[in-house]
Amino acid sequence: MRVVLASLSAAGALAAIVLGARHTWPDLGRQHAHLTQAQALRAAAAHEGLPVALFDRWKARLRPGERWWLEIPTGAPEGLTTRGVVYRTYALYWFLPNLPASSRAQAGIVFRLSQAS
Amino acid sequence: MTARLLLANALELWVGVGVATILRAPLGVSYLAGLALVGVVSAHLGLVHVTVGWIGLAVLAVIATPFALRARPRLRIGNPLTWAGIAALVALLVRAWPTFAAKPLDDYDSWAIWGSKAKALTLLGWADPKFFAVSAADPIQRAYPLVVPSLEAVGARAMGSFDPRLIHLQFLLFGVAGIAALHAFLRERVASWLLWPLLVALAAAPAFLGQLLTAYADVPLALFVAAGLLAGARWLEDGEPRTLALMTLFLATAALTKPEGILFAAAAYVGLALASRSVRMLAISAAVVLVVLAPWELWVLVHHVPAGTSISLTSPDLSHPGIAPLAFKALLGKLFSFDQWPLLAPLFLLAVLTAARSAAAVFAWAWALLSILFLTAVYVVSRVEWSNYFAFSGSRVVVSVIVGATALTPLLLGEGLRIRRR
Repeated sequence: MRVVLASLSAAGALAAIVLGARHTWPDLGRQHAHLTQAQALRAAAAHEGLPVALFDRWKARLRPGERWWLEIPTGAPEGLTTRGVVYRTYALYWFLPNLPASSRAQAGIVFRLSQAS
Repeated sequence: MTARLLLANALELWVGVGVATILRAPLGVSYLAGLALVGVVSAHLGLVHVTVGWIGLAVLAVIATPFALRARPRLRIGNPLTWAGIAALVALLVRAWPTFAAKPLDDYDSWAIWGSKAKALTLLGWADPKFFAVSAADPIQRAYPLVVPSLEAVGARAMGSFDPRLIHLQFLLFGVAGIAALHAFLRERVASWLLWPLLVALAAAPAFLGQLLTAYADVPLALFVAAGLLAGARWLEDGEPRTLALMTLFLATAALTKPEGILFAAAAYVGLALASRSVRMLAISAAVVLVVLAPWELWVLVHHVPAGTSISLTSPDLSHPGIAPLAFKALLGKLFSFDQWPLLAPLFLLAVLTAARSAAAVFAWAWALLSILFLTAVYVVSRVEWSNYFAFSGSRVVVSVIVGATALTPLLLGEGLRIRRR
């Protein structure tokens, strides 16, 4: 009985290879991105529908070591978070090595956006 | 840049050869062991303003050298099935490489959590609390530990900058290290006709490479968990403290990779205790896992970082226990997903049946069941509405369960055949 079960498992594993590879193989080809360096750097913002040019302008205004604060409304719910948080999260990622301020008062520069669209 | 990333990984492999030699582990485990050790060391040193780059890697490699030189690799020609399996894995690797090298960092958690932390570690040189601990950084899941971002940062420093495309290759290399480790653990104990089809089936499963490509930490976590489980199963047989030490290394690294890692490690210890009844050694091993976790937990405590979304045991919401069956069923649905992990969960169940009444079978089913129950509990106590939470995390949290179960499957089948011979 154990030999039958083991043989059945080996056969099942061979079937699993075929069932998996028929998706994985073409998926790997389909997901091959063809982006320029600049597009790849900003791909996260583009993917989330964030204003790429605006974030670029903000980043250009940051001086080395200057800490920033982003003032933005909460915005609509999005997944497990909100649109405003997506903006703030991208600012954290994009503005590095500049650090966020721990409060608005302590920021060297404050960026404002009236709505998180 | 790619060559420098590969050179850094070669040094990590060399460190792992030293670890494997000390612990008398199969040499195929070296690469994953090296990633584990460098990951833990660089994550902890990052907390105290020590950057692990070329110099750090060189120091670790030099420390490993006296042990690594004692390694005696045994080259075997192998049978046709072995060559067919290797050819299939190499074909997948060659197909995947250009896609991983060109993928931008655009999946949400990849840049928002793991990428942000990795980029910060690379550019700031350490886990600067002004970034990692401020409440403004809440969205990057401050309580998530730093093994994967630290390894990304080690790779980025080696490459000279944080490249949001090439960093994906580090994740593909994780896959290589993980599959090599599983093979090394299993090759001595399982016939090729059982081992290779399952190993290739795991690597070819759409969710395996698909989730690696997202640059999330779930597959690296799963590989550490799976290696820990196989080391644990090996310890059930040989009872060697060195084998238990190897398991401890992998489970501690898993616990430092994502909060769920603690749950999978706890499930492994309970499973081993049920299968072996040798609680003292396991208690020592579990204590070592806690010691390895301690610096990070202390850092979290000192900087008043609240728990992340996944494990909110500090303020659990116990007001809706009725969702437990729903969450349990939904998790099973993900595990048995025909599109994502074709046939792997049914094959695991078949293998448990094949090895019924063996210690390995007790360990395997206890670990898998407890892991699913623990994950269910996470959804029950979470303050986030469960179905919304599940929609965004369900397919990822099961990765460790299915990869761990698939790693145990050939072992159980081999065990079943051994029972028959006796």
